[in-house]
Amino acid sequence: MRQMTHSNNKGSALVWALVTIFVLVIFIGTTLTMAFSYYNRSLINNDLKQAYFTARSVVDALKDEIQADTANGQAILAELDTVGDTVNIENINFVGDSTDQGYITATVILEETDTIIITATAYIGERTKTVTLRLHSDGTVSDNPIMEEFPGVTIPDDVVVVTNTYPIKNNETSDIYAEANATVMFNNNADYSGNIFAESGVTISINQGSKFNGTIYAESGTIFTFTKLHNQFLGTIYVRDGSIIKVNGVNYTITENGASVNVSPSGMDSDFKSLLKIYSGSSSGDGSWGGNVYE
Amino acid sequence: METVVGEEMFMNKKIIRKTKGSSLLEVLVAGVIIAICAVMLVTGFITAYNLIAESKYIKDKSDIASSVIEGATVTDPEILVVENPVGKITYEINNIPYEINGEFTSANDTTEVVKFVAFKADSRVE
Repeated sequence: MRQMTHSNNKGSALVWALVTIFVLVIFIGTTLTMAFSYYNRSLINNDLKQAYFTARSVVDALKDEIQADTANGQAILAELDTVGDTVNIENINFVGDSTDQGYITATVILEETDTIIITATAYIGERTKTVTLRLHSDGTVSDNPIMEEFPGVTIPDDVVVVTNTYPIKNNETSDIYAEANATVMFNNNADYSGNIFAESGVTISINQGSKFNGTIYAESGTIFTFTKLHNQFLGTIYVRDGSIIKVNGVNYTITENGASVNVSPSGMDSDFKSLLKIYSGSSSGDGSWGGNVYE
Repeated sequence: METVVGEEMFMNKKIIRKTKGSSLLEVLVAGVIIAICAVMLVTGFITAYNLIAESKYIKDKSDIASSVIEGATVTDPEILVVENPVGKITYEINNIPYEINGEFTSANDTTEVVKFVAFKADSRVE
């Protein structure tokens, strides 16, 4: 019998079809996997960002309370007697917003006598983010006379320090620290909206037409002079309870009277009297917690 | 010269198999298979494309919204910023409850797929 030799291609189309489909399925599978991975990563990044914002919100809030020396801040500091003491902040909840901000834990540790570490960790789903802040006590600020009479007040680093005479001009917002016996003069038609920190003996001279929307922290012994206040001279003048300030040549003792103030002797210009407020801030006496660094 | 393909000798009987062309049924089956594969392919790619597009959208809006929370100016009209001044954090120290009043700032896109919230205490020093 004669043998016939030829290549056998029968069924190869089916094989090719299967191979092609197999390759395509792998290709699509890979593409879909990558796309899902990309999508999931975007969602994970969102959770991580929110976890970070949540943790930082808690750290910032605790830091602000300590720096501003509020009752909350003092309650934390009261627990930090010796180096190494730790305050566990428990059952932290955000009230007033329905967004899932995760589960949060926080601690405050007295690392050194002048260093506090605030740490908060937020958990959203399986994502976790921790924010740590190191808060340093700035002893130099507490030596400031203003800080002694107005504990908790923060004097900005860029404050203008006045030792002689400083004229306030129009549209001025610079914060002013007037040292004892200096003069701060509101020029005619000046418009000021900054903060003035006045040591005892400082004269604040208010010329006609001056507008004011800022705050004056006036130590006892501060002197105010004016002839007529502009109806937009509406800022706040903080004094301590029992302070004596001289207004247009008369020494007045300022005392708290409920939500208002008492002046003695009576007869102070009612427009000026309405600006006076009794300062109620307080300090734990541990010095001001100023500089902070995130880690 | 005539070539006969597919002839087999079996028990002195000649069996002839059809090898040229396809029956209607084969064509239909092949067509259905190809169609199914095509649908799978197209669906798969469209799904992948949509996922990638959605991922990019989330990433872009997330970047903008988080920048807004950090204090950047809103430049994207699709990012909405809401400030709720009546908020607070409550917590306990040694089972004594405390609360810190402050405000929530949220930034979200119009679909709220992306939404970030941060809290600032009223006692903060600017």
